[in-house]
Amino acid sequence: MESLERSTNLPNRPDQSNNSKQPNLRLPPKNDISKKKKFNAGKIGVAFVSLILFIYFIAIAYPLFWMVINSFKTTQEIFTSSWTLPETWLVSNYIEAWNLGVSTYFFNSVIITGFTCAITVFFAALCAYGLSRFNLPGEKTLLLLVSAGLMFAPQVGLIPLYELSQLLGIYDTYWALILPYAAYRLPLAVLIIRAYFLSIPKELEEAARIDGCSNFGVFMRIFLPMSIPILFTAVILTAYFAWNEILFSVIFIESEELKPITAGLLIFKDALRTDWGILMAGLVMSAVPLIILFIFAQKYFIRGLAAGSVKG
Amino acid sequence: MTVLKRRLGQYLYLAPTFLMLLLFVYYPIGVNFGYSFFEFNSFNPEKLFVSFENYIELFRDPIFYTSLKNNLMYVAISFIFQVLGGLVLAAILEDTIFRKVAPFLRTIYFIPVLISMAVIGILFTYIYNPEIGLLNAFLELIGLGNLATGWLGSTNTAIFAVIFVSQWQSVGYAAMLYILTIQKIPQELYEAATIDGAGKIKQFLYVTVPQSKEMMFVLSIYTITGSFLVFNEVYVLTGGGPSNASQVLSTYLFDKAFVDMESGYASAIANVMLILTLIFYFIQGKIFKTGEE
Amino acid sequence: MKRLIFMLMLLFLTLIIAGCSGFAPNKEASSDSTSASSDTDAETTITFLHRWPNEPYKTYYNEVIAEFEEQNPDINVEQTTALNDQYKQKVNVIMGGDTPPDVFFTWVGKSFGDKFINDDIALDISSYYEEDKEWSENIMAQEPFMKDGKHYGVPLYTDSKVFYYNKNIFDQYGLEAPETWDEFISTLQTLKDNGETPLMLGNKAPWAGSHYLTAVNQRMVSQEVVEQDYTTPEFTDPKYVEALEKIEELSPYFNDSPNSVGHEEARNFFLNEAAGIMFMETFEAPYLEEASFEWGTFNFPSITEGEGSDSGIIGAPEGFMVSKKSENPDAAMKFLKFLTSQPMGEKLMKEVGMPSSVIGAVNEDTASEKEIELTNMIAEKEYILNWIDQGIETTVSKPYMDGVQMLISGSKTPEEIMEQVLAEAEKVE
Repeated sequence: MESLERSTNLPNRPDQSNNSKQPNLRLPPKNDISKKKKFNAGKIGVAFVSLILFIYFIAIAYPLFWMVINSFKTTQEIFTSSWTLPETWLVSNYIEAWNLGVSTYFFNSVIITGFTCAITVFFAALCAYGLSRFNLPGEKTLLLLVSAGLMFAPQVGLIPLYELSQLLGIYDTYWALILPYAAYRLPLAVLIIRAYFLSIPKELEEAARIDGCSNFGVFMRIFLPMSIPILFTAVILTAYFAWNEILFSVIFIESEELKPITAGLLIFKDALRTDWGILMAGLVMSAVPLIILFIFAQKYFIRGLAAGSVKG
Repeated sequence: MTVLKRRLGQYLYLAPTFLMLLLFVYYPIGVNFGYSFFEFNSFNPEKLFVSFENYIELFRDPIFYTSLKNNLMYVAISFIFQVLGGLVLAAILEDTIFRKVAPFLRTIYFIPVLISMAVIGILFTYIYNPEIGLLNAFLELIGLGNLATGWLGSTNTAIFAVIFVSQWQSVGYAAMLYILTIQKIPQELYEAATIDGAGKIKQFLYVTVPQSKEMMFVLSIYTITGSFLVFNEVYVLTGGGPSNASQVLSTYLFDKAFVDMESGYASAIANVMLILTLIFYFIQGKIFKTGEE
Repeated sequence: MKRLIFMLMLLFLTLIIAGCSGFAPNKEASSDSTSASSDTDAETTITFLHRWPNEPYKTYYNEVIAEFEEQNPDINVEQTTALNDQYKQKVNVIMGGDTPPDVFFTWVGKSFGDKFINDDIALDISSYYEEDKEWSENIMAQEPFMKDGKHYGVPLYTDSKVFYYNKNIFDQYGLEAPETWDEFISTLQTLKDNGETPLMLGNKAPWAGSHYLTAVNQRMVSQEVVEQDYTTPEFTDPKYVEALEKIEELSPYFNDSPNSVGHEEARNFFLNEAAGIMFMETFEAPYLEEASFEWGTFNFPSITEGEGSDSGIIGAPEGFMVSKKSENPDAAMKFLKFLTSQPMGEKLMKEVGMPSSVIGAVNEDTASEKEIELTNMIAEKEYILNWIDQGIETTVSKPYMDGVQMLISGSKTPEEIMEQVLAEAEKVE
């Protein structure tokens, strides 16, 4: 728990947390020449490292900046002067991109991500509860079966999954994405939630039972409310995956009206080959939500990323 | 209430998860294994048993080897940039000298992690564009104009251009995880090293690296398996082209399954990927176990 | 936190109640139908898959569908679209599924059309041709959609390819549209010497280069041999190597790294006067209406040392098929006949510049002088060679097209390419 707390402070770690390091820096250089030389070498080193940090900063920030400024330009202007600031800032690009389909894709992504998160976290919490409280026969094997799920990449079962979605009649519906997404995110969610459940003291549970709570009552009234931070972490983990997934969204949804933002943008790009400003506006709009979510929920985010390899 | 009934009730908590896992994870993988011994496509659902024919053909297929080579290149470069470079970057950002700018830089470096590869990929097709792209314009600006080329369209550069985009996105992620690790390293270790006269580089080598070993290991496995499974970057940027030069196993699988309609062959590719990733997971399991002992 | 989660849940519930239909497997969800009213009284719904999600075609199809639904209030048409390259990837997945669209777009030749016929995807619609002679006798280019005397599709228009050139640039250097290969090369050289990009090519998807290939093969290799190789691929004629050498001869005149530019992107560059000449399809003429410069066209130049046709053109009709699994083939055919009726054919020409397969649809009222010229060119030619990426087996065309990519970037020789093509051709039964 303690370590988690520490890490959650990370993003805006206040200066005082570095206090312990301060003395190192203040070690006064001794007055002999050799040390002085070293100090100079150190200075060059710092300058060099700073330069690298700066170049890396430009490498990351400039393309993003380029995307943003060009999202306010006409195609003609991108073509002739993609480096400069726009002559007139065309906010209309954003409105047009939104109306040309981004709004639909966005809405679909929100629904798909929302349902995936809800299903994953609720099922995972139920399962974690079952695997942490009852000492079920075969618990070890079952747990192994869950963790082994981590090893399988969605690509591997692609063809049978495609057939399965046809068979279940969910092909070309939101479910065709929601259910597989949830299934592939469940193992990780179960494991992190279970680890947390194990740390909840037995006494609480027993007290609730004396008050007449059933198993499910204990789950709903004690375990879920007490685990909200970790559940939130699981939500973020799942949302990150569902929002960014491409492979399934390209194959399992056929109707343009149901496509999430990833697959949608690829269509959008095709349909708008000639309107780059609008395309850039669409890209910016698709990128912004997660960045905003990150800014508001940094600690959960980073803990989530640390809790499991999130990508892919 | 009988014991049995109570037990059944308890297993019910597991039911939804296991139903999902069996249906969408284990069943497809099992079925896929079987499919690799057949020849069929979704137009002709009748499956023709060909035993190991698909595998034999696969191991003779030059595009398969190109894909495998590209995946290995992905592994190597990602390892250098993310597992090693990420650690160096994290150590630098955690150094007191950069304390003022570190939180800002950390956030900026992390932003690409948050952006979907669909967005990044489309953005970079414009950045790599030979006519209006940023990259060539930049090269000309610094006098390296003769290096300018159509990055995604040349068989020599396409895969590297794609791998670079992956690094662009992911180094910040690795660095962030390392930062969490470094912050947990007891300060005394650094102090002791300073007293022993160790400079920054030595501190890094003798304190930071050994203390971050476990995270390095986790990230290695994650990076390696991720590199064997990579799909998004390649699909969005090049689709495996030109002339299959940037094909990786996932995109080749996709092409075979949904463009060329050779489902059995695609299943064989999927199984090769499965085995490759499993190998690394078992290595992980082995080393972790021995580490505990 | 609790409240946040609660509110999120509430939001989702509201969304569901608000009736988002994407959860149900019915096709209503994908409705792109233009009039809401027709949804309510429609008894039959047909689905329509085509490859034009972009303007101006998008508006064209929306309008055509709206008009059809108005005339047939009992039929509701829903469209699904994907642009060219995406379409090639998608159509296999969609047609292999359990609920394929009732009406779908197809090219002709071995890659798509023949496959749909042979694999029992396309419905035999001969009876509809028989029943309504007034309609069917007015349709050109039916033959590529037929097999064993049976009809499997309806052509929408015939596509072909010519060189479009920027007259402003040509005038500046006193150039004229070349007719022979030598004139062509010297034109390109003049442009290059003056610092212009002579030829614009977007070969990221290798079909663009394969059209050059189709054209040089037509010039260099005798018609008989080419047609033979389109039926059963052999590609043993040494002239095929010489044909590739002709493309090699062109490679210094292309824009920088054509393999990294998409075709639509390249067309954008051409429209922005970044190059003198570009090889484009006839139906792309409407894009040039937006161009700020005067333009003209010329056919692929003749080659003296060639054994093939000096004046033949490349291209093929494209059109629609009805799915065998369709539950409403009558409604589907009704729609298809509507699409290929005289007024719709005229509209197709007039609004999106596609030379309709409906006889007489291209006339002075619907087309510009240049477009009529182009259409007549197609109608007059006896020898129209299908695109090689569509016409021959994909197993052979793929390495062939990839080879052209490598040829243009200088990383493979014509001999090496033909060697690989021969190897693949041998594998075809």
